[in-house]
Amino acid sequence: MRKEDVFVKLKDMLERGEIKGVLGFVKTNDPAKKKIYYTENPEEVNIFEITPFNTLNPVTFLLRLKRDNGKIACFLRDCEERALNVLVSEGKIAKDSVYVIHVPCRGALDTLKLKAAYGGDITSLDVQDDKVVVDGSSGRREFAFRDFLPAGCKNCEEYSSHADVIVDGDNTRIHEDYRDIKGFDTKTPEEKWEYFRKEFERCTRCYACRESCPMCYCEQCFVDSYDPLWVEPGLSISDIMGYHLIKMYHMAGRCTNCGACERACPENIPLSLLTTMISERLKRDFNYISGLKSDQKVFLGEFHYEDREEFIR
Amino acid sequence: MKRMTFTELVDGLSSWGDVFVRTKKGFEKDGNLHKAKSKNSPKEFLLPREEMLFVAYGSGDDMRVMEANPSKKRVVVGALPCDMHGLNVTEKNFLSEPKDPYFAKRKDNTVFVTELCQYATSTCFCRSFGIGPSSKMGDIVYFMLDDENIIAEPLTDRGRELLSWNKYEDAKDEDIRIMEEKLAEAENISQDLSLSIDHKKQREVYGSEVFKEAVFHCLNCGACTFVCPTCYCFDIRDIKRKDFVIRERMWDSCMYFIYSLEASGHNPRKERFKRAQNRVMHKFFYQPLQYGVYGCTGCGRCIDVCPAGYDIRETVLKVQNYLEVKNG
Repeated sequence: MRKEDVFVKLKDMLERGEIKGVLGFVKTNDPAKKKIYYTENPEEVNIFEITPFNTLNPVTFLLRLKRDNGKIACFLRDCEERALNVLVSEGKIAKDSVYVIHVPCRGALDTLKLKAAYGGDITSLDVQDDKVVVDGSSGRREFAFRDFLPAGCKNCEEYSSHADVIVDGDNTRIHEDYRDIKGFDTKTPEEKWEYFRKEFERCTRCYACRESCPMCYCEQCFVDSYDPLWVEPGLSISDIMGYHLIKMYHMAGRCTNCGACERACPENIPLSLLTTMISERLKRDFNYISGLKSDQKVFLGEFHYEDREEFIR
Repeated sequence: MKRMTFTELVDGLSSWGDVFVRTKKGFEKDGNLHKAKSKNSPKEFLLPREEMLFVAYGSGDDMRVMEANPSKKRVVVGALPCDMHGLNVTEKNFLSEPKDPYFAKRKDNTVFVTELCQYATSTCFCRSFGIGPSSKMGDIVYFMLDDENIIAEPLTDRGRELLSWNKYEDAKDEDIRIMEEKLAEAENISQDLSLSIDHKKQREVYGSEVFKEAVFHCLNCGACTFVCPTCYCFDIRDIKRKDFVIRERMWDSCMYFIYSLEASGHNPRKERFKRAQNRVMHKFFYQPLQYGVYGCTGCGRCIDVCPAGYDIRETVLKVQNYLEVKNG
């Protein structure tokens, strides 16, 4: 369905009370940044934007809204719809509480990284095929689209949407067959450690990666605890890695590789490389892709009596 | 004002202490000057991200405490007026009685060399807080005429003693003209929000719908609080080792769940919006009431760093407007 027609449909549904509100991205003063917005006003539905600059995952914010009386319509990409499926399968969101509007996506750009690379006030942005054309106080500059995608967006899994309505557009997935990960696997453990140490040293533990993640819905995170003190609060590399690696353990089989954590990171730490690595291993070793269906079995929540490992019995 | 080169200024100051220069990231030792706002403010020179306060060791009657003595002499070059104003605001908390000895010692041992600002961007709104690109603050103030030549003047006795100012020639009329022109340009870009908030009306906005809506898209990460020149909240923890205990102080953020978690298990700011609200309330209501000055300097770093497109200006103006409408 054309975008304009979807807006008309949403307005109609809001007026008739078939949905309670709409969640999506709208403009901000900065053309490179879109912000999440929720409205229950039928007159406002046409302000929602569908762009590669929508950096965060709306499902994260869906969790923050009251979803008890009436459906909420939500603009979701493939990976975001898969994240919703995971949350439904975990019993976190009721399936019929969300009206899914599928939006086309070729990859979501890391706008903070793009802004840092441009280095000035941005007045306009445009995506033309494989280029991002930026205009502003540092003049007109072109960047390669691919260079500003998190690893997850370069390895987007095939998914056939179960959305209530689908917005027309170019939905060409980039799937590089985990090229980056396979290249990374050839490194020695020392080289890998050196790479991650260098990248993670920049972490300030602002927890933007945690807050942007739809899978991080714990009421109290393990780092928000004095007793027991799972990870010390400092900025030494062991404390930083302690936080990130434990977080990554919790992602296995749940993360749908939307890349929101990497795009949210103010220090441009390649977090999506780790989540992509998890996806690659799950697919390679267990033929498991997270969030394909809302009744899919949870990867780490399953056990079989016939399991060959003794500890599970 | 005297005419010299940036290198001459830095070399002259290096005999006093380690020189930290404004870079893209923050203020780095012997760094190359970045001709724009830095990502981090210089607050870490007075309130480090992590600092040891003391070490306690021994046992019984033979318990000893070894206190930290931050006596390293440092020069911070390139702090902008918003950064300096930020430190002045922060100081009100740490240097009012009872004084924080660590903060005070660090301040005594740090020279601030401020740059007049020609780097205003669309996120700058320093003119809302009684300062501007041409505000002279710190021990020495300078202006970059080009990539190397500067004009500078001392503002304090310490600033006068640090360099032999007499050996430099006076700034030419042309230099002053260039400076005034550039600063006027920056003044034009920096926004003045024309704030007229009645701080005593804090209870009327606290917990209101206007806040709930204005901060909905805030992620509640702590990125803004770390880059902010006036966010000074810290946490103190005792780190136990086998034979000794280290008391450490480190940056904290009011955006975190654990920040306001009480020992009983009760958390007065359990809801996310209350945490985002607190940051705005503290800067625009509580600090003006307590210290007579806004807790924001308009540097715009929080807007630059935000991954969620949150703009504190919007929230403040919405709150101000809400109060005005409510009170006629």
